[in-house]
Amino acid sequence: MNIQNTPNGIFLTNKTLSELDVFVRDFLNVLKAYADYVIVSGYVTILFGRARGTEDIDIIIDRIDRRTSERFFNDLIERNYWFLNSDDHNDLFGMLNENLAIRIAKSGEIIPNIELKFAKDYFDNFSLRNSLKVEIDGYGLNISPIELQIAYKVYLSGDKDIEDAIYLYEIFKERINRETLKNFLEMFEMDADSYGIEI
Amino acid sequence: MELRFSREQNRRDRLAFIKRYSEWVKSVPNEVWSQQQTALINSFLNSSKDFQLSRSEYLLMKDRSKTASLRHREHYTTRSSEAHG
Repeated sequence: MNIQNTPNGIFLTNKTLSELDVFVRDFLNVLKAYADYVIVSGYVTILFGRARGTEDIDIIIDRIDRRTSERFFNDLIERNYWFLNSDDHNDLFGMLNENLAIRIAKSGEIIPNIELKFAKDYFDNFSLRNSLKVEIDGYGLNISPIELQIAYKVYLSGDKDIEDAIYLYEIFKERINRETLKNFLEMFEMDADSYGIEI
Repeated sequence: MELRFSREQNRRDRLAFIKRYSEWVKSVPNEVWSQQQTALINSFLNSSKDFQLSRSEYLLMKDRSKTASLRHREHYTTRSSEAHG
């Protein structure tokens, strides 16, 4: 794997884009005009080569007001997206405001879909403010800091989550900030030694 | 008891595979791992086109899945805190 670290983030060149990558890229091209965002959870590991599929891509955004959300939702509909939760824009904005996720897919399809929510806690806001920029052959995207991703996946503790945590750790172990990882693991009250995640 | 052992062995095998796979990904150019990964993901997405659930049925399924994950998490936390006294 060729990963180049730069002061502005990570360069990942010559990556073949999957249909999932193209779906994410096209959605972000719309979203970027309306809100700051960060991609979290499973897609972060897939982006760096984990061999698994996913139905949904988790994206956290800064809070936007009702008028901005209306423009965003209309823009999505014009570009052939639909919402899985409701067709009523007031309902969708209400869900976001109640810290619930809304799901967005290409019109008439269910999978893949974007699970979009407002930042609601310290960890969401930390991810947004400290996102890692990844540049892939001409397009860029913001992902959650790797150290937080590893700790959060250990915290979730499902089989798939633990596998994601170990995979990210193995890929990035020469680059991660171990003090930051240690702090996040302590905040989640988790111990990752038994998985070979050394801090 | 035998079933539990098999599950634990399976988990260990999976984790060992993840480590071996990550070593392979790190050892080859991006073109190589990403082409193989793309074939897998595109195949997965292609299969999902046969998915016949409606929007509401899909959301219900996801809700149930999240509830089950939360139960698993609570179970794990309880066992973990018991194990650590």
